[in-house]
Parts: sequence; C-alpha cells; structure tokens
Amino acid sequence: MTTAIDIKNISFAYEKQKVLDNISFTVPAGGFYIVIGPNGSGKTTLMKTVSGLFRVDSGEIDVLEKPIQTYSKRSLAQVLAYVPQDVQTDFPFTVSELVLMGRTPYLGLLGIPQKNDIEIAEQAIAFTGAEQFALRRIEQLSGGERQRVFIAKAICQEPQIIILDEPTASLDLAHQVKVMDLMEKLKHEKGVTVVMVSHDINLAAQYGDTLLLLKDGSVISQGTPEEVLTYKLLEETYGCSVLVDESPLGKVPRITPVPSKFIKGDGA
Amino acid sequence: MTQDSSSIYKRFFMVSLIMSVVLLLSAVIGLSIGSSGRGPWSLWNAITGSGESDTALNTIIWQLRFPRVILAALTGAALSLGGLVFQALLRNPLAEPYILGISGGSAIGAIIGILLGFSRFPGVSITAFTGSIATLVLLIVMSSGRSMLKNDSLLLSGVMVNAFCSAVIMFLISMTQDTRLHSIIFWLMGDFSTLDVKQASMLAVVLIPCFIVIFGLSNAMNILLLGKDMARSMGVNVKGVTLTLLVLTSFMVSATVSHCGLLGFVGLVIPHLLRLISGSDHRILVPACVLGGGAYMVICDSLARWIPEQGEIPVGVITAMIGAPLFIYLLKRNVR
Repeated sequence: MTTAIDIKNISFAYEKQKVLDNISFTVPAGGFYIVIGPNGSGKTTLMKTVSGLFRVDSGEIDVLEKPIQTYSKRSLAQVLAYVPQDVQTDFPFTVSELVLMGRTPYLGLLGIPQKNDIEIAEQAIAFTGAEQFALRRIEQLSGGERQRVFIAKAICQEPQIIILDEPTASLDLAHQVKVMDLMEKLKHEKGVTVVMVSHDINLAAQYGDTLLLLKDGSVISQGTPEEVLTYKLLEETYGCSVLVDESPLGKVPRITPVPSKFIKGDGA
Repeated sequence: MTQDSSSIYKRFFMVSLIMSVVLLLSAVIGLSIGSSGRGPWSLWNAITGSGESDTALNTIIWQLRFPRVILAALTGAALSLGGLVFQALLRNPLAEPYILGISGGSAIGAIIGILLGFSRFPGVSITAFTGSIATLVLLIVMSSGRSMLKNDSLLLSGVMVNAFCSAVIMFLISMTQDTRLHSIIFWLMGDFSTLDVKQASMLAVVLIPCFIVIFGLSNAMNILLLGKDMARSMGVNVKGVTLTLLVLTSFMVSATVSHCGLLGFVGLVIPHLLRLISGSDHRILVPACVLGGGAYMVICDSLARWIPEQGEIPVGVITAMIGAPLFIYLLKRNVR
C-alpha cells in the first residue's frame, strides 16, 4: 500500500514556544485519519505544517512519497487541499464562483476557467449537495452549508489528500453527520485520503480508521479507535473522568464525559 | 453556474467599454471647460480644424488643457487602484492610501525634497516614495506585522499616522518663510495646473507598467479575499503578491503625490461605486478602476476650474468634499 503522508520526527516552535515535539506518523493512501487532543495540543499547527503552510524546524514530511519541499506551491495544491478552521465568511462571492476558485492551481495567472474546469466545479457542487444554493452568496449561508461549500472548493482542486481543521466545529448534529458522511463518501468514491482534526471524540471513533491522540505537541497514542480511546489514555490526556463503553451502533468505543457530581456521590 | 470563461470575458469587455466611454466623455468635458471656454464646439473645431480656426484657443486646448486632462486621468487611475488594492489586502472597504496615511507620508517626503531644493523628478519623487514606504512600514509595525491581513486596528493606526503626518506637514510649512510657501500650499491641496506634456508623459511611463502588473495580480487578489491560509494552500504566493502590491501601490501614490499633491478619498469613492456596478471580481475591477478613476478625477478637475468665476479651486478640496461624506456613510453601514 502506498503512503499519502509520511511524517518523521517533526518539531515546530512558535516564537520559541515548542508547539510540535518530535511527531511521527504515517497515513496510508485512502485512509481516514483523525487527530484528536485537548485545546492547545498543537492540532491546528500540525495540520498547517502537513499542508505546507509552516516550515518545520526539524524532521521530514513526505507527501505521496516525495519530500514536501520538492513541491512548488502550485503542484502541492494540485495534490493536497486544505480546509482551514477559521475561514473568512464575508466575501462577496457566490457559491459557484468560490468553488470554481478551487481550480486556481491549474489555471493561468488570471485564472480564466475553461469548459472542463467549470464541469469539475459543477460536479464538486453536486457531490457536496450544494446545488440548491449554488447561486447564493457565501455570507447568506448557514454554517453547515458554508462548510460544504468549502469542501466542494477543496474537491474542485482534485486533490489526492484533503486536510480539514475541525470541519464540524459549531455545526448542529445533522450537519456534523452530513459533513462526516461526505468525507467518507469522498474516501470511498474518489479514493481521497482524508486527514482531519476533530474536537468530537465520538465522531472520530465513528468515522476514523486511525486516530492520533495529541497532547502538548507530543503523540500520546495512535492506532485504531479501540486502541487509542481507552479510559486510561483519555483521562491522562484530557484530565477529566470519562466512561468508555461500546457504541450501540457497532464495535467502536463510546466516550461519555463524567460530570463531577457523579464522582463526588461515589466517594471514590 | 453563472460564471464561465466566456461570461468573464463578456463582463470584462462590457465594463471596460462602458468605463472607456465615460472616460472619453469626461475628457471632452475636461478639454472644453476653462476660463476661455466656448464649450465643446470649439473643441470640435480645434480637433478637426474646421470652422473658425482659433490658434489661441488651439494652444490653450493642446498645450494647457490636454496635459492636464492626461495628468488628472492618470492620477485618478493610480489613486483608485491604490484604494482597491488596499481594500483587498486589508479586507476592509474603508482602507485607502489617503486615510491610511500613505499619501501623508509621501507628502512629507515630497515637502522635504522641495525644501532641499531637489527637482521634481527624480529628486522629489524619490523622497516622496521614501516617505510613503516609511509610513507603510510604520503602519505594519504598529498593527503588528503578523496579523497584517486581517486587522481592524490597522485602519485606526492609519488614521493616527495620517494625523501625525498632517502635523509634520503643518510644522514644515510653518517653518517655511520664503516664496516656496505659496506653491507648497497650493500643490498640497491638489493641483494639476503647473504641469506640462513632458511631466504628464513621464508620469504615464511610470504608472502604466504598475497598472499592468496589478492587473496581472488581480486574480490573486480575489483569492487573497479568502484569507491567507486558504490562499496559500491554493498555490498563491501570499507574501510575494502582498509585498508586490503594497510596494507598487505606495510607489504609485508617491508618484501622484509628488506631482499633484494630496488628493484624498478617490480610492474610496471609485472602487465602492464600481463594486456596486460590476461586482467584486478584481479582474474586472482593476481595469474599471483605472478607467473610472481617471474619468472621476478629470471631472473633479473640470469642476475645480468651472465652479469659481475666476481662477480655480484646488482639486483636493473637491475630492475631499465628495469623499469624506461617503466615508462616513460607509463607516456607519460597516459598523451596523
């Protein structure tokens, strides 16, 4: 099996403060890889580093078995699409205009699209189910609709790898599932490797085939959801009591944070 | 999908055509108005050489009014484009070289150049450019370089830089005792009257390449609106594009300031109006700003010559009287 992303011993400091400390992991092509961890554990920095937005201080990043520094910005954008967490939302563009911008890495200086670029954009809009609001402006959409549009833009880049930073944050339940289903569909139908950060451990358990647990810039554990989401590791990492049992939907673990009133009552 | 390649071309040509017609009409007005007026018919006669041929009027039109119209058009184009670029880079519809203090900085540089007795080109232009770059750097440092592309603090910093620049300008003027005083004051308020064909063509040679490069970066400006990270992840060289645009804009602004003084709010009025007409695609807005900004300035200059019975008012007074109320209106709408 080929590897999509291979990270070897990367470290990164942000104004002398170490954010990533000697991290290594491998994402196989076609994998669904989810990074979890407490706030400030370096998840976003890790995603930006892997997307080539930050240059690491030490270590190596291979994208599709080639060192990331051998890619030009354009050629990297043709194989890897990044969906940031805090996307701007007040642009004056329509959904279809924005999605079409995903073709930028393939177009000339002025970004004039050809017929096939427009077809690809239309397919991306259809794939994400965004047709009904394709002509509306981004600022008029709800959070969930907007997230799907940014995913459509990323798909329009025709990447082999898509990297998302908390795509389900601040979405309601229905939209969380919609976005995650979309990623699963992308993986199955187009063979795209999905790497994402998630705040929601239960969603991560449901969808990810490999999880990476991060704390203070170091890898605490990585493996299948069953391997990573253990009571002991989670309590150590998050510093709160959790209950881990099996999800009624299948073999994956279900995590329930335990409110302190239950712990006191126990006397334990 | 509303947008395909042919529709981009179509919109580009439609908007550019309309703005070209507007510019042409404004040029006709600019060439016809003046103290020895006689309206557009005399212009027609001067161009075709038909009718009663009036050599004195011919001279006035071609030696005085023509370079003036060219100069006004170039200045308006450069300042509108400057506003458009700043608005895109700072993601703020209120950003403008004058409001941000860039114009003020280059005016300080220009006055120092004049006081040192430099010639207008290249001496004063160089000191003006130095002044604009210095204010730009100051502005970026003040609003902390890292958050350069997202901030609201920048506008406020700019307003303060501008206030400081005004104070320095006042200081320099009050220290000037000799005959240069009157010319400095009049130049500062925006003045197209003292220039000839040679200077107009020199400004054209300097500015037109800037227009072309900015047009080349117009699509990158569209993508920059999506945010730094997103733009970079789409293959745009964010640092390179931002730096090029900032330096080019400062350069254009300082070139116009050193020739024609402080003309405020042009970069606010024109991009705002054009966005209402032609949408937000910079590939269409850049040429539209060049043509429309040119037309606007030619008309402002015509007004400056037409309104008073005798002599003329400084153009800067007119642009500020139109622009400042619009700024307040936009600010109010932005806050809401």
